[in-house]
Parts: sequence; C-alpha cells; structure tokens
Amino acid sequence: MKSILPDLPIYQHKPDRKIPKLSQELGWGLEIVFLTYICFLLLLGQTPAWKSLVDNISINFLAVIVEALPFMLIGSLAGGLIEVFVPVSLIDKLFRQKPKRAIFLAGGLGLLFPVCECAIVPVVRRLLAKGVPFSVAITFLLAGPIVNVIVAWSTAIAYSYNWVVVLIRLGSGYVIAVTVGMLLGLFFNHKNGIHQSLIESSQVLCGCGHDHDSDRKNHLMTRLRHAMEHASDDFFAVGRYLIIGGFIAATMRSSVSLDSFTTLTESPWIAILIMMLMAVVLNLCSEADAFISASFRGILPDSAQMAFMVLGPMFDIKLLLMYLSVFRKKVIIVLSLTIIITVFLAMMALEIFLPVFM
Amino acid sequence: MTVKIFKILILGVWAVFFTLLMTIGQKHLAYLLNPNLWWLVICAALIFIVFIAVNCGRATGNRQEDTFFWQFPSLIILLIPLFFFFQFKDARFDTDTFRKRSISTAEGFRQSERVVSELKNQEDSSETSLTQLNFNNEKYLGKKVKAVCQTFADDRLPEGIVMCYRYLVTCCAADAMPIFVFIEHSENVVIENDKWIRVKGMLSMKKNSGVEVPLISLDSLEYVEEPSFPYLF
Repeated sequence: MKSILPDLPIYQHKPDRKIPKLSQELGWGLEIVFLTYICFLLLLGQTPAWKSLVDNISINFLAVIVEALPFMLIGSLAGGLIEVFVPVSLIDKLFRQKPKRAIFLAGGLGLLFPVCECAIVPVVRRLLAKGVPFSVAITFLLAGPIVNVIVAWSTAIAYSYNWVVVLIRLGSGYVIAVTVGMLLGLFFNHKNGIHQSLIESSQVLCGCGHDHDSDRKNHLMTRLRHAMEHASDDFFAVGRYLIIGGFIAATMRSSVSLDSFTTLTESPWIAILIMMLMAVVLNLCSEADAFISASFRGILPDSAQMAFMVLGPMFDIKLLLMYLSVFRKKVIIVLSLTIIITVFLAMMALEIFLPVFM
Repeated sequence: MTVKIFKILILGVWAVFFTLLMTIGQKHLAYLLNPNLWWLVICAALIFIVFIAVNCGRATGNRQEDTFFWQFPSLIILLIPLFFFFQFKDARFDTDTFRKRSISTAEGFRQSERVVSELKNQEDSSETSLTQLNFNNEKYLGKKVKAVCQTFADDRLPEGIVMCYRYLVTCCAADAMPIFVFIEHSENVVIENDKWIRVKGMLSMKKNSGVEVPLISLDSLEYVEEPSFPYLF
C-alpha cells in the first residue's frame, strides 16, 4: 500500500544483523520456552486438578493486561509526540543546561503529567532518545508513578483522608527518586546506560530513518504520521515485556496468599522487607496499591505499609521486564539494587524517627 | 514484508478484541475492569486502529529489522492474553481466591477498612450494598436488610455461621479484595459453599479479629444467579 503523504529524507542504515548475536539467540530461545510453557499451562487448565488455578491466572492476567495495555499505548502515543514535536533545543534548554536543577524538576513532573508505571516506560524511552540526561530520565521514571495527583487521591481514600500518609508517600517517593537519579547519574550516561537500539535514536537522526529537526518544515499530517509510527514501534518494543511481566504478576497474585506475608513480622525491619517483597511480587498499579496496603493497618507497622506503597511503583517484576526495553542489563541490576536499598533505608529511618503516623 | 503483515494482523486482532469487549462483550469486561475505567478500552481500540492505518501506509525496506524467524516468538507473545480469553470466559473467583485475598489472624478473618462515601453502590436498589452494611452500618442496625453475595463456609468459623462476600475492585480484578458479612443461621439450614445467595434478616454487629463486622440473622435465603456486575466498585 502506498502512502499519499510526501516522502521524507531517509537515513540509510547499513545491514549489520545478518549474523544473529548470542544474546539474540538466547532471547529467542527463552521466548520459545515461555510460549511452550503457556501452551502447557493452558492444556493443564482443562484438567479438574488445575482448572481453579488456571482460571484464577486467566482472570488476573486479562485484568492486568486490559488495564495496563491501554495505559502503555497512551504512553507510547505521548512518547511518539515528544519524539516528533519536541525540538532538541527545548530539551537542551530545559534539561541539559542545568542538569542538577533538572533532576529536582523531573521528580515533580508527575504532578503536571500524571502517568502510571506502565505508561511511563515508553515516555522515558523517547525522552532518552531525545537526549534528556540519564539521571533526569531515571528520576522521572521513578517519581512519576508516585508523585502525582491521582496516586495522592487514591492514597487519601484508602487511608481515610489521613493526609500525613499522603504527604509521606509522595515526599519519600520524590526524595528516593531524586537520590537514585543522582546516584546513577554518577556512573551511567547515554553511552553506557541505555539499550543499544536507543543509542542510535539519541542522535538527531532517529533510528526510524526520519530527520525530525528538518521534519519541522513538513506538513502537520506527515509529522503526526511519524509520531504514530514511533508509538507503534514502541508498542512492539515494550508490549512483550508488559505481557510477560503481567503473566508473572497474575501467576503470583493467583498463587500467593496475603496471609503468607503476615506470618514473619516479628520486627519492623523484617516487616519492611516482607512488604517490599510483596510489592515486587504482586505488581499492583500505583493507583490501587494503597487499598491493599491499607488492609494491613493494625497488623503491620506503618513503615512497612509505606515501603509497599513506595517500592511498588518503582520496581516490580512487570517493570523489571519493561526496563529491558530501555536500559542495558548492568544498569537494570544497579538500578534495582539502588532502589531496594534506598527504599529500605528510608523506611527504616521512618520507623526510627516517626514510627506511628497512620 | 511478512513481518509487516504479521504486525498489522496483531494490531487488528487487538483492535477487534477491545472493540468486542466494549460492545457485545461488556458482560466479560465487567469481570475484569472497574466501569469507571472502561474508557481505557475505547482508547485502546482507537489507538490500535490508528496504528493499523499508519502501518499499512508505511514503506517497507528502509528500516533495520530482524527477519521473521527471529521476530516471530516476540510477536506471538503479544497475542498470549487473547489465548487466555477462552479459559477466562467461564472462569470465576472462588473460595480459594477468598482464602488467598483475605487476611486472617488468630482471632479470625479481618475486614479491610474503606470509606463508604467514595464507594458507589452497584447492586440492585432493592438490596443493601455490602459496602453500606460494612461501612455505614449504624443506619441499618436492628433493621431488616437484604443482600446478594457469595457464600464461604470455613472450619474456622463458629457453628451456625457462614460468611457472605463480594469483591471490592479499585481498578481491575487483580486488586479485588473481599468484603464480607456474617450470616447466622439455625442448625437445620444447610448453606452450600461458593454459591450466590440473596439473604434477608436482621442486622447486628459481631466482633471479629478486633473489628466489628455486620452479622445478618437469617430470616430467608434463596440461591440466585450471579449478578451482571459481580464486583463492588
């Protein structure tokens, strides 16, 4: 089918993918294993012994995907529009000239642009491709799903309008995101931090073959078409990670009992660690997690409930897999450890200095 | 070219899925998502249609892409949720789900606390919402109430008492948490487990796990069909 819109200057890539890399072969193999496992599970679901579990996984899995996929698509659209319509000079002015100030600004951007954790990944991909500094992108990635008005509102409802809880959740989310952003900015940058496929995109000539800066002279429809093409590419790049992560989350949600988290809570630090583990395992949406956390009122320390609400939107299994579409593996390992350690230390400090606030 | 066609097919299948969910599949959608978020499904269908349009009009050959062989597993993965739809169609949360999603202490099952004013009553107006019974109970104490809910009989409950619950959903079924009341019945009444019932009786409060939980002293009970909106929102 031929486009009726004018052709654009094309950046010719050299074909360099004839010989598959080892990581590509490994990834292909793992995907085949995953697909085989899914077929096996669906067959098991036809037997009486497994039906209840597979039924539960099906409901949870479809629920997670039907909710998260549209958010991811909206995020992809936003990312595509940023890629095509936001000039590099503006990014330069806002984020590159004063990167330290930009980190603090990025921590609060969610208040202006409320995004959930599924939508923020494709947006951050495009921001990095556009040249936003690494530390600023990390800060926005971590703070956006917590420091926003929707999360503030849902937390307020879940905790009977206890605004101290809201303030502590948003405040600690902001501080932790800024801290992690600054720390990672010391060791990583675009060259050694972001995924190979995004490195090409981080120059003016983006990986799609369009030159968006000369593109500005083009017709609005052409630019919109390019934005949609980018968004569609992001769906194919990030979507599979969302689906694998969503499946693991649904399996956990269907097989792990909430009671199993309440049995090992002898001391606050154990409770904090257990609630952090629960946040990683359950993969809940940041707008809904406060309601689950609130059900532990009176059972677990306040700091442990807060650990659940702060860690979940920054790091869980679904997000871990989605990060694979943005960062190199070593960055993901360092990022994960830094988030976990920072959240734990922050929550221990909260336990020591403000043990009761709910 | 094969990759391009396959990608368009995937987008098409998703567009059709979301469109069907929002039109003839609302019964299924009610098991997945809070109706306040159904607009997301419309958005997704529209975005997929736009993606199909741009991908159809897109030139092939000038982008660096792997061959179909290397791409097909990741493309198939994008369709996995749809394979689960066939299992999901007849699937329901059952007592096993209740056990996993409720918190029990040595004293008994624990009810989560919520603010009633924020909760919309999705039940038939002739019945009293379980959320109302739980969080606005002073209005109904000592009065006859009627509720539709799902039964849960458990060895840990005292003789002559069963629980009756519904799931409270904030965003989607994955975050559903059970809200329950106790049903007190006489010895000659046998209440089957995991069934939808309509109960009528006097409301009082019972102390359970440090929290007051509504108790309905049974006047009448009938087994009913599952409501079109099984969850509370």
